[in-house]
This record gives sequence, C-alpha cells and structure tokens, in this order.
Amino acid sequence: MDLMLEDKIALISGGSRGIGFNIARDLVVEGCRVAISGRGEADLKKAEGEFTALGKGKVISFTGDMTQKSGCEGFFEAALAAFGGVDILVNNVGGSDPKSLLDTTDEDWKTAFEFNLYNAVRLSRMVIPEMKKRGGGAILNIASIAGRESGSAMTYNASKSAMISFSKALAQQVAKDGIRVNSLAPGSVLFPGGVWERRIEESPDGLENWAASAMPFGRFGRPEEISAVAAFMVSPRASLVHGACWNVDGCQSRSNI
Amino acid sequence: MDMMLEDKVAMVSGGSRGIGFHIARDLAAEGCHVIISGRGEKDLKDALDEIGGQKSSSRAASFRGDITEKGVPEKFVQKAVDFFGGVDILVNNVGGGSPKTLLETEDEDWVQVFEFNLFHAVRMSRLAIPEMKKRGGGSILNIASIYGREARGGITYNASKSALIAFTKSLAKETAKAGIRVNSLCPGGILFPGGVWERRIAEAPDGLQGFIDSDFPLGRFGAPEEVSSVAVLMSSPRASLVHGACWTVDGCQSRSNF
Repeated sequence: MDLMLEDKIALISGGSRGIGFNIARDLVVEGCRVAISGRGEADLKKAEGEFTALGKGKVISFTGDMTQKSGCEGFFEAALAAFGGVDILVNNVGGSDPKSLLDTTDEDWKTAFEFNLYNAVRLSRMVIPEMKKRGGGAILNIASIAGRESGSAMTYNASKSAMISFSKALAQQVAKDGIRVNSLAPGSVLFPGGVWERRIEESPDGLENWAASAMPFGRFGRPEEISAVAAFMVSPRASLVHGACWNVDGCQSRSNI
Repeated sequence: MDMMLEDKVAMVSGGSRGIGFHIARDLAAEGCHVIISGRGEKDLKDALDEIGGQKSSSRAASFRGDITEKGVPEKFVQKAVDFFGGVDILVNNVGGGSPKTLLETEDEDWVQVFEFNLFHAVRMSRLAIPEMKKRGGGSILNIASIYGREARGGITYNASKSALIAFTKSLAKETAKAGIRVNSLCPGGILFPGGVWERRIAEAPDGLQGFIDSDFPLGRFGAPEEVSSVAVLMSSPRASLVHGACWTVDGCQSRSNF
C-alpha cells in the first residue's frame, strides 16, 4: 500500500530508542524527511546515522528535554530551520512512576503531566500554525492502554487519560483546517533500554513468565508492531481517521472498545 | 508499506457494494485471492469484474446468497475452500439497521436485526476458524459501527452492533493462542451509491445538511475507500499486535474519547 508519505516532514519526539525510533525509521523508509529529539546525545546520533544510512530523505536530530519549554522550542526551531515546515508530529515522549497517592507529592504529579501531556500540548501549539500554512497535517499522540483503563501507576493512568482526552478535543478544534489528530495506545512493549527490559532484569524469575501467562499472545509487543500502525495513522491513507484512539495491545486490555 | 498479503485467501461478506466492495478490491490490489458474497446478481458480477482486474496474480470469485439465512454461510465457506484451498482472512461486513423505537418493534424485529448484524458473523467465524487453524493462523475483521460504541441511531442497530463489538473481543481471547487475530472496525456515516445515507439524503428536505453540520467535524460523510484502507491494514500481518481492538474510523464524528 502506497502510504503517500513521500517528502513529508515529520517530527518525532523521543526518537532515539524503542517505539519512537521505530516510528522514525518507518517514516524514513516511506520517504519522509524526519527530525528526532532525545536526551542522550550518543543514542540520538546513532539513530540519526542509522536513518541516514537508509539513503532516503534527510534526517536531523536535536538533543534536548521535551519536558522543558526550551527543549520543545529548540526542537521545533531546529526542524523548521532544516526543512522549512512541518507536516507530521508524533508526540512519543512519556514515562511512568509507580508511586501510590500517599507516596506522591504535588511535584510528582507535575512531573508526570510534564512527561505525558504538556510536551504534547506545547509541540502541538507550535506546529499547528506551520501545518495550516501547508494546508493540513497530522498529529499523533502515543498514549497507552493505561490511559484507557486502570491497571498501572496512578499518575501514569491519569496523565495518559488526559493525553487521550486532549487528542480528541484538539481533533474537534482543527478538523476544518485539515489537520488530523489521533492517539495510539500501545500495550506493554519490550525493547532495548525500555521500561519492561529493566523490570525483567530486576525480577529475573517473574516477568517473562508473567507475559507468557497474562498476555493473550504469551509475549510482549514489539516496537515495530506499533510503528507500522503509527506510520499508517499519520499517512494520507488514514484521511478519515481523526479523533480516534486506536489500541495496539494484542488483546492485553479489558475494554471492549 | 508492504502489507504482506500476497497470495492470502480473503472472504468478504456483502462485497458487491460500498464498504465491503472497497475492502475486497483493496485486498485484491494487495495480492489476495478474494471471494465476495452478495444477494444481487448484477451488482455481484460488476463487482467481480473490478475486483478481478486489480492485479494479475490475484484471483477473484463470487458467491450469491443471503448470508443471514441458515445454511448459507456453510456454502460460502465451502466455495472459498473449493476455489482457493482454504481461508486466511474473513471480513464480516454485512449489516444494516431499522429506525424503529422500542414500542414500534416486535420481537421479530429484534431477531431480524441481530441476524443482520451479529449471528452471521458468529456463524461465519465458527466455520472459518477451523480452516484458519489448518493454515497456522488468520484474521477476522468485523465491520461494526460507531453506533455500537455509543448511543445514536436505531435502538436495535445500537444493541446489535454493540453485541458485535463484544463478540469480537471475547473471540479474540479465545483464538489468541491459535494465531487468529480478531478485531472490529467502527465506521461513522459513509456515503456510497446504493447505501443508506444516499437514500436518506435524497429523502431529507435539507439533504441532511443540518445533520452534517452538527455531527461531522470534517463537514462531510466518509468515503468507503477511507474505511477499506484501514480494513486492509487490520487484516494484514503488519497488524500483528492488533488483536481484540475496536478501531474508530469516523472523522471525529463520535463523542467518545476512545
């Protein structure tokens, strides 16, 4: 299927590892010009090198923290300087902290929302005027099944739910501008340097057995299984996919919808 | 994106018009061998001509019959097996509604709508799964509706499409270990020749402009090819982690956040 992504300009936050890395790579393969952000310069440069070696469109990377306003601004400006516009934004940065309510301070809640919501709000606010100049665009927020139903860290649940709600509200706001806004809710995805790898290492006997019994497929998800859906969602082939929250979880979540 | 659908055998019920036709056509274009069912001979023949012309390596067949009638699903699956040697992909696309309120409906109306929107999918799945197991896995896609996810539309349509979505998730759990993925896709209002919205637009004094303004953020109905591209992805090996999912494809028409 031709995804009609040739020459589109895509920004992916948190693109040096895992899901974000795989989304960036798939978009490069489909012919996009791609900008990725990340905090660790070594990982980021390695990813940039791998993408460039594919011999497709131009790739740039930006070292910075998207939970800081200055990080978002720097990333946006670097992409604009390199490519002259924005067609696609993938808000992929996120993370969780397992504390219960009585263990959390106000600061912990603020951190969770910076990590899982506010960076997506800020980057969306920056790119929308650029997308309008180009007659439209696509924003994809990487949420989580934990934003759709309970069963994870409390601040993660709340902030990912907020991200899904934000996606829908924004979709209504920008529908007439030809800018599509969606969220994608992965289940538990295993990749090098990811949270599940660390958790497996910390409980050598437990978690792989947990996946075998608790996950309907008997395994964790793989990042390339998320990125295939993400590439489709941001493509013009998904022209009626707007305000949607698609779960990609191998039947891990309980919800029927 | 290579959808890895080359040489797969796909069955699409209600494949002669609208969404089902476009799914069948797009699957054929990706290299699937496709068999469609339908009730009208002429529509079926026209559809088959176009589906068969998508790709030289893809073969196409049609089956004439009413899938909601007892015994017909057996014949449809048998024809697919006879023609193509098995089944990899099943798309349960047949469905329809009635605008009657509770007090207007008889028990028979309820039975009829559930036949139309649920029981044929149950029967077809029951028949296709053993064939898929022989081939090491497969994919079942049920075409539901946003009116199966939230209230709006006819009461029997709401309830039966909700049941189809619930059936999808339960079946996904049953077949996960057999490598058979089961999902539902929920379109919003889709306009196509011979479809329900075409008729309603013709009947409404304002051409449904008020409804479009109030319910369609994109300011238009969806097109069937905007649904079929998603259906192809969901049925393909590229969607290997998409299982038990219910994806909305409605241009932000529904209210639910997820």
